[in-house]
Amino acid sequence: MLTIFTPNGDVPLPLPLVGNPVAAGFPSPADDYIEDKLDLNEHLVAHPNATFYVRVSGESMTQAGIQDGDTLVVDRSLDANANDIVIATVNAEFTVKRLVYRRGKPWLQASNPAYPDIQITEDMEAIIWGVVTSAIHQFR
Amino acid sequence: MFALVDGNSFYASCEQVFRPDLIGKPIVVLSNNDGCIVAANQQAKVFGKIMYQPYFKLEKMLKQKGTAVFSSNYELYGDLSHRMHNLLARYAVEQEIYSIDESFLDFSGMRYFDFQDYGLQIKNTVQKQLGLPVAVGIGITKTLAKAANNRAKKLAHLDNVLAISDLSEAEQNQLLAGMPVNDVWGVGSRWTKQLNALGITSALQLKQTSSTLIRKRFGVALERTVHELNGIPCQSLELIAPDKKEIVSSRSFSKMITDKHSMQQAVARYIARAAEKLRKQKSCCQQLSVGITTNAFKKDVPQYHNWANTRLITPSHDTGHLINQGKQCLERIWKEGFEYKKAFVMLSDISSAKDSVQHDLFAHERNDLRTQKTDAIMNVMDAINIRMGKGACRLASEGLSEQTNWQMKRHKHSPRYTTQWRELPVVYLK
Repeated sequence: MLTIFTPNGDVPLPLPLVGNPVAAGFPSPADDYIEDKLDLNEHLVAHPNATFYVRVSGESMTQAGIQDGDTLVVDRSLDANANDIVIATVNAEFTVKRLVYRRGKPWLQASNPAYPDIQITEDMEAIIWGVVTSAIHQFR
Repeated sequence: MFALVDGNSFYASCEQVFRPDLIGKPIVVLSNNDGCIVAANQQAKVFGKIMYQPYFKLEKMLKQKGTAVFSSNYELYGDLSHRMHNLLARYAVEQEIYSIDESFLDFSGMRYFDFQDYGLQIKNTVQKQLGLPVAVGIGITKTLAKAANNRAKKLAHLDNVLAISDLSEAEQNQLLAGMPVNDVWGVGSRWTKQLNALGITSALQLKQTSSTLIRKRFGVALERTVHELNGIPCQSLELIAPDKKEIVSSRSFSKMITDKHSMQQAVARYIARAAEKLRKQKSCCQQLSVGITTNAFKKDVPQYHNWANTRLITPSHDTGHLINQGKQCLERIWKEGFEYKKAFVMLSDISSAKDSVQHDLFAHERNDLRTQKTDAIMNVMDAINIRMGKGACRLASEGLSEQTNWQMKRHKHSPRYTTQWRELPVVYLK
């Protein structure tokens, strides 16, 4: 195929961006040190396929650092260990509690003395839905 | 060795992920415009034949039985589907995403392996990490993997996992004997009738029929199926999805359209969606068709349907240009005095955007220069729509109001839990 090129001053000519566009003078001494930008996803989400965000409403976990309105990062690929903060379904409802063991028995513990702890018993429909890895609290 | 992994009642299962109160309850999902039932979980399927039935006929019964009813939430299903396919990809060297809820996995090179146990691991992982139930079928060919998946789901004691290749020949045959021939991958209803006429009603009978006879009567495609049932691989994974040869955007309106202005808006919006898909696969089209039709099921109102087609001078993926052409097509077929139910738009004669283009000799502006300008605009528009949601940035001809009166009905839509910050699931702390 034959392609004919004609000069045209009206058209912007896109060029690959070079690190330091200043032709004269010294190149920036920082040029060699440019790295990727920091990405919060990378910081907060270890397993993106199994990670979900959940909004909190209520005060029962304030002493664990979870405030009303916070966004929780929930990783469902993790196995819940003792002292993890977990999302659990108890009697067909979601809740957020700390998983603790007392005399070998699992409990869901609230982090606010005004709220009761829940013992997980055999006859109860309770499932650990996911492990809370971060709480995002926005100030404005 | 291949696996076929698919979601059980996928749409209904997706609805349940963020609704622990629905565990064990019947759930159905409706099609566009809340017309038909397109998905039902096991608890709803026991009510009888409800799949693909019009919803209004069953509404009362479903309500009485406490069924949760949802409009299709494609944002949610799409996101969970994407996550599921990503999780599955880790289990194999190669993966073919076969549909929204089905993946073929290629286990080539994995020998002396307990595939039954591996299948169970896959099932449990997807269940734990996404809350979605899946079935896993494993076989030495794709057709056997599909068959194993079918048996794994149908036979309760298998509990959704079957590595048919781990079984003896006799055990395999016994399973295939219980599988109707129309459940075999690639056997449609027409072939089923013809096969039944020959006395072939089960997968086992098809497996044991001479492949030469099948080729003579049905052609090579079904011959291949016979080979695959006998464990001779004829198909490998299709790893690169071919670009679409044509892009169709077609939907029924929630309310009949009777005025031209509304129809122009609807057509413009369908073209905009189709053009977006075109740009996503980095293509241009040179052929555009627009069709309109009245409701063929309402015998008592006057009927009309027609379509028009136009060939563009140069291939394009510019929404504005395509909408202009589409309007001219509509102009040619529009007739007043009818109640229109549906419009469709088709982009065809699709080529790669990079392919060389024959210039339009009579155009005011050299079209490669014009293309540069519109490409820049389209890039910005697509970027905005990806970030802000579909249709956030659009041409005025698509209509300005957010909700036009002809748009799809999705009254029972669940929140888009995983794709919109404002619709995240809420946990109430008590």
